[in-house]
This record gives sequence, C-alpha cells and structure tokens, in this order.
Amino acid sequence: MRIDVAKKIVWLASYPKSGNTWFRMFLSALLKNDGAFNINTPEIQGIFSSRALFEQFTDFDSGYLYRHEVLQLLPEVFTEFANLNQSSEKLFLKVHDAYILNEKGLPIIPAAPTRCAVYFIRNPLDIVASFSNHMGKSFDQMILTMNNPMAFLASQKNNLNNESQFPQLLLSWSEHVLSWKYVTQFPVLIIRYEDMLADTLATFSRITDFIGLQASQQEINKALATTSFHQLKQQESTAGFNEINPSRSFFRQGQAGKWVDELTKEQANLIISTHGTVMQQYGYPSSLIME
Amino acid sequence: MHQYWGFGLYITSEIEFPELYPFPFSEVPDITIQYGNTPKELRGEPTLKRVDMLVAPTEYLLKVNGIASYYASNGNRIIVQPAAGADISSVRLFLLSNAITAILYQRNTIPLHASAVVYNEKLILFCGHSRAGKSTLATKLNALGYPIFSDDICVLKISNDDKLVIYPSYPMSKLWEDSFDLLSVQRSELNVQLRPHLAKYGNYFHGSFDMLSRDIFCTFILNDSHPATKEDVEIRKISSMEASLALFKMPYRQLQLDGMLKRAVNFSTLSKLSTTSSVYEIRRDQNLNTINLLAEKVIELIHFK
Repeated sequence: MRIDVAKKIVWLASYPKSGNTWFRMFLSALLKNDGAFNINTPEIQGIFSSRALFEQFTDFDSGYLYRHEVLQLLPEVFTEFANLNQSSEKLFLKVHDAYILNEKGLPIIPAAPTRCAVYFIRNPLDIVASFSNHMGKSFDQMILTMNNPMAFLASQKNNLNNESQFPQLLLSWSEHVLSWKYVTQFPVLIIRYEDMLADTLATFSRITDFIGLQASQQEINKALATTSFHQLKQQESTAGFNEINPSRSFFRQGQAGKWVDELTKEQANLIISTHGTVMQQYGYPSSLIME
Repeated sequence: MHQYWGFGLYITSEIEFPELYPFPFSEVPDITIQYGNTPKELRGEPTLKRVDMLVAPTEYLLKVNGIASYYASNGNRIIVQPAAGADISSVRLFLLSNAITAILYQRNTIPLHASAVVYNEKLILFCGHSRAGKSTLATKLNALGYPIFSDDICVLKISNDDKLVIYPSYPMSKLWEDSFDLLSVQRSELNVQLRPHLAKYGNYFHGSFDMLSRDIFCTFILNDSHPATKEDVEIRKISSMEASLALFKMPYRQLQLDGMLKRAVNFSTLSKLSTTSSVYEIRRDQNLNTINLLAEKVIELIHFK
C-alpha cells in the first residue's frame, strides 16, 4: 500500500517496552537538530491515550465519560487534531493501544488523517524484565499480563476514571502484534527492536525513508549519537524522565537476549507456549526449552 | 416547573435537579431549562467547531451520544433533547457541567475551575484543572471547620460598581472513590453516584448552602504539571503578573470561552481576582498522599496571613 502524503499522522505503535521511546527520542533529536535535545520535551505531538489531548478537541471532562463513549469519539478527535494542525506536514503520535474497533465498528485509529504507522516489535522474552521494572510488578505478573487476551495498560479498578491517561487495551502480546500487522487502511512498517540495536543506522534510515523524512546519513548519525542508550540513561539519572514513576528507571539495559539470564525455564516457556507462532514469524526463539 | 437558585442565577426548569438549591421566586427567571428538539445547526455562523460541539457568540450546541443534545442560547435558555432511554442522572450531569457554563459565558460571567471554602466570612479559592485535587482539599478543610462554599466551579463577574463578585455553583461536592481513601473517610449511603457506572460520588450540602456572594480572602492554584521538588508540599506566593497568567488558564470549559469570544471578559475578570487577593501556587509530590500536610500548610498560611 502506498503512503498518502496528503495525510499527516504517523503512528509510532508498539507493545510497551519495545523500542518506541528510543525511536521517539531519536526522532525528536532529528527534528530539533540543534544538539540541545531534552528527553522531557520531545518534539512530537503526544500519545493517543492522553486525556489532556482528548480534552483539547472535545468539550468534555473525560473523567465523566465511559470507555465505550471515549472509543466512539477517538477517531473523530484525531481527525480533528489533524485538521487543526494544517501547518504541520507530519504529526507523530505514540500509541500502545491494540488496533481495535469501537462499538460503531470503526477502528479507533482513524484512517482519514493517517499517513502511515511504524510498529516496533521486540522479543517478548526480553520484554518481561523490562515491563516488570517499568510497572513495579513481578516477572510472573507481567507474564500473566502478556498472555492475557484482555490485558490493559493504565487500567483502573472499580470504575475509577481519573488517571492522566485512558486505559489502553493491549490484548495479549501476540494479538497486539497481529492487530497492527493486519491493518489494511494505511501502510504499516514493522521494525524489530533487535535490528534497531544490531544494525542501527540502516534500520533507522529505513524508518525515516518510510515516513518520508528528508534526512542525510550525517543528520541521522548525529541524532543517534544524541539519543544513544547511554545518553538517554544519563539524562534520566540527572533530570528524571516524566514518563515513569521516579522511583524506577525507564532506561534499564536496552539489550537483546538478556532474557536467558533473567527468566526461569518455566517463565520462558509460558511466553513461548502462548506466543510461539507469532514469535517464529519474527525470528524469535519459538521452541519450548526442554533443559 | 421547578425553581432553583444556582450559579448566582434564578433557574426555572422542566427537569428536576436534586443537585440544585430549590428556591421559589417570582422574578423573571435568568435561565429556563426545557425539553425540546435541539437544532441540527446553529442559527449563526459557528466561531468554533469541535467534536460533537458547535459554538457561536450567543449559541452552543453539544451532542453527547446516547445521552442528550443540548442547545444553550442568549444567556437565558437551554433546550435539552434526551436520547431514547437515556439515563437521567447523565442527562443532568452534562447539563450542569457543559450547557450551564455556556450560559454563564453568554452572560459575560466566568465559570472558574475552582472549589472554595469559607474562612472569616471570606472565600479561599482552590483553582486547578480536572484531577488536580480541588474537591479533595475542600472536603478536607470542610471537615476541619472551613465550610465548603462551592465545588469545582465558582462563578465570577465584575459588578456595575467594578467589584469582583463570586457566586457558588450548587450545593454538591464531588469526589472520586479513591479520594475517600485519601481522606480516610467512609463513603456513605447519602453519597450519590454521578453516573451509574462511574466511581464518582456527590455529597449534597443544601443545608449549609450559601446563596450570596462573598469577598475573596486569598487564592491558591493547584499546579499539577510541576511536582514539588524539595518538600512533599510546597506553597509559594506568586506575583500578580504570574498569578494573572496562571489564572487565565483556569476557566472551566476553555473551548467555550474561545468560541464565545470572551477572552476580554476573562482577562478583566481574572486580572481583578489576581489584584484583589493574594495568590499562592501549590506543588506536591504526586506520588504521596499529601492531603493532611497540604491542609495543615494551607491553614497555617491563612492564619498567619
């Protein structure tokens, strides 16, 4: 499918802890291009689940709305968002929600203003420890979440509805991947986190080409240097990072294959037995560990 | 027809509102609320369009899917067209939070996003965006002997003799379920759920509702964008200029304000507030329950002011 360049929104989609933030930081540095990059003031437009963003385009106190009412409004909200940002050529938005339909049968991610999406995928075995650190929960709890077909991020119990982000339906890890893989309404580029690590320049260049960003190799290299894992971690340790509870660290290790040292055989097999089919499609270990 | 006093106005309504203060009057009502067919479009050219909302200087049209459409016009009339089978508490909620504020702007008054308590016959305002903690703090102070004047919205206007006048909205404070935990109080059977599947509850205070306006004692702004960095709770006095800039962002339903071209009214009214009273900014460690400490610090400050 070809990209419609008249459309503005580029979705940066992923299951949590899959390289989305690294790419957003890179993109911010690339767009800013003055070396004064700050992890807490990225040059992109926000997150799909933000109540504050929703409330800029509706006349509602979003806390008064039920989830199904919000899901019905979201496509219109982001269409309006694009309409009211005519001066911007591209609008970058992060999204962790699975690509699902609302009660009207419409995708919650509207096609009308969407240029394309980049979907970041990471070995789910490596996600476990990273997600656990992010959420402050045990590995076993995170495995249950990743295997749960009705898992939510930022969900609230007992009809509470007052967090800064809307609850985001993730589905299980596999279903999250497949929900974005089979989008037919706009082009989706799937990028492996492991390729971002192993072949950084080529992979990031592939994404910028896909999005249609004019950037030289020199500019991409400069943005990559500014947002290397070491640089991001250093900024977080000195100034904090407003996308995570300050008692924890967002940028943990950023490596691939560490699950071998982090997970027990049983924990790894719980992931593999649930997601092996999709893991195999993306070159991740998909056979149960016998030893 | 039901008659009420609310938002500093005489209200007559076909809909019964347990939230509002019943008040028989013989004057011409300031606002009439009626059932009827809302128009599909505004009569005038919209100055602002957003999702399911149209605004012009004297008109406002809102559709809440599955609940109702609301048409507020000329500062004195609201037409409500409920959806088939709509929950009536939801119909009332969106009228009180949206259609009424449109009427207030049309009347050149400012619905400030603020809760208020009474101290020495004067008002202490707590301004802040949704989820900033206004109602929780006002409820805490109410328990410590500072009666709630208004929750969530205070109506501000400049009188003919150029004085700032502040009216309460209506006698109900609203708390999320988790605020009861923060306050270490039990939710009672008297607390009413705002919508059937929403964990936010109203507490009526008709018995102590204050119909009259009061003078301002001081104003606090709950800053939820910047957490405290040195202490769990930080309160600092801010300059009149800084206060004005912060207060200009505090009217309730900002899109209505823009669509009805009321920035000048907003500027003059909130400038008056910032010059009439001392304004303080509150920052908190947002990962802690600071409600008791915050209430203590506020009380200490107002007593030594």
